[in-house]
Amino acid sequence: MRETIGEENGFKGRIIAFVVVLALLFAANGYVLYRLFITSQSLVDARKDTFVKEFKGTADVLDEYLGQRMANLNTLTNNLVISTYYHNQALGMSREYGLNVSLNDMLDQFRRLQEATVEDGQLALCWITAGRSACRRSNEPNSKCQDQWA
Amino acid sequence: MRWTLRLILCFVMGLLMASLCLADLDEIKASGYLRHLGVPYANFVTGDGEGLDTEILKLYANSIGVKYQYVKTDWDNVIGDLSGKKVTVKGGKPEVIANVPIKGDIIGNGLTVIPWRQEIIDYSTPYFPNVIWVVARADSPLHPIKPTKDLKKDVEETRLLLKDRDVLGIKNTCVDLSLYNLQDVRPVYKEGVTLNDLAAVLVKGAAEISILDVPDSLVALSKFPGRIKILGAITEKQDMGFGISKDSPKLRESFNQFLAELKSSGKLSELLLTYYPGIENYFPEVTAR
Repeated sequence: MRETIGEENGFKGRIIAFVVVLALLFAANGYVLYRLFITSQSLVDARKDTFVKEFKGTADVLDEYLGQRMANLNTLTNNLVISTYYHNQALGMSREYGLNVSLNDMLDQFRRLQEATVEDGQLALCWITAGRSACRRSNEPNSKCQDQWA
Repeated sequence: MRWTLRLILCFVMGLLMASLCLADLDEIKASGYLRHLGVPYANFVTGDGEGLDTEILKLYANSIGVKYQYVKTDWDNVIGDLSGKKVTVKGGKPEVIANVPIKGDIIGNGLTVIPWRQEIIDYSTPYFPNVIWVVARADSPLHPIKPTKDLKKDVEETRLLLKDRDVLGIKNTCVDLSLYNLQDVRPVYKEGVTLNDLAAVLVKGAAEISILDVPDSLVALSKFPGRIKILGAITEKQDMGFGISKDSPKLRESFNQFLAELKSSGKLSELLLTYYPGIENYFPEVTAR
């Protein structure tokens, strides 16, 4: 009788120990899962932050680049040399009789702007084109800058 | 009687002075100076020690081992200052009206080769081509001609444009209207207007149309952008050269040789393009060696 009770107690003890171990395992597992969740959440947040920062950086660079191009456009549109060319053309002057002077002045202006606008050691402006009947400053890859007629 | 004697004496003294100042190459080398007679004009002589002709003559002076000296003159006196003969032009022919002191050895200010001038002085080899253009104020109702690629036809068409119009010119210069047989044109000559002022006179509204040579037109177009327009040409190609006295044949020969060397070395083209950027568009031959 005593043996039976003793065996029963031993069995219960093992059951309890097993349950305790199991509970501990579940708890540990839960903790690990929780930590994993927290970590992945942190990673997602960090990635999100990084993405936002990178995107903002790119947007800032793009903003600055476009700002510079706007400034280039302003320089060109406010330049007397270019308006003079179109004015002379509107007066009926031909390239043979005087218009070439303003055309050359305009090309010079294009060249100066093109040479002055450099990004990372490279010319930022490949072409500067002024209307279909005017002229084009180009900087084609694998070729030198040349004046071309558009 | 006394006055007659004085006049004769003055005349003889004048002649003596003039002959004393005549200088061919040997005399120039002996004096150590090349005297450049120049009228400040366009980019040929700017008057402040710069200009196409100034640079060429400085190089020449250096090449013959003498110092360069600039002698400022004006269009009325430049021929006399070289030849010792004051002339007036009537009907395209020069008449000597007085003997004057010689002040220089060579004229360099974009001097166009004109027949009456050739009767009084010699020219170097031409170094600069030229055409006379018609320039109008931007608001003039006259419309520029459409180029035909044939200068002769362009000239005819431009001349038609000028029919019955007042055209501003300057006597005894390359823009003297009487030189170009312009029929049905009313020539206008204004007192005190020099070659350097013609474009400014147009811009100020004192005249509507004028004639200008190409180099001066190029300068005027840059100086008064959008305020003048070129209507066309009234001459076929002319030449510009350096003026040299008929009594200086050695100087002419030496200078022509120098010009030929300058041209073959490419230096002449370089100078032409420096002082007249874009001139090669009108006269492609300026870049030829």
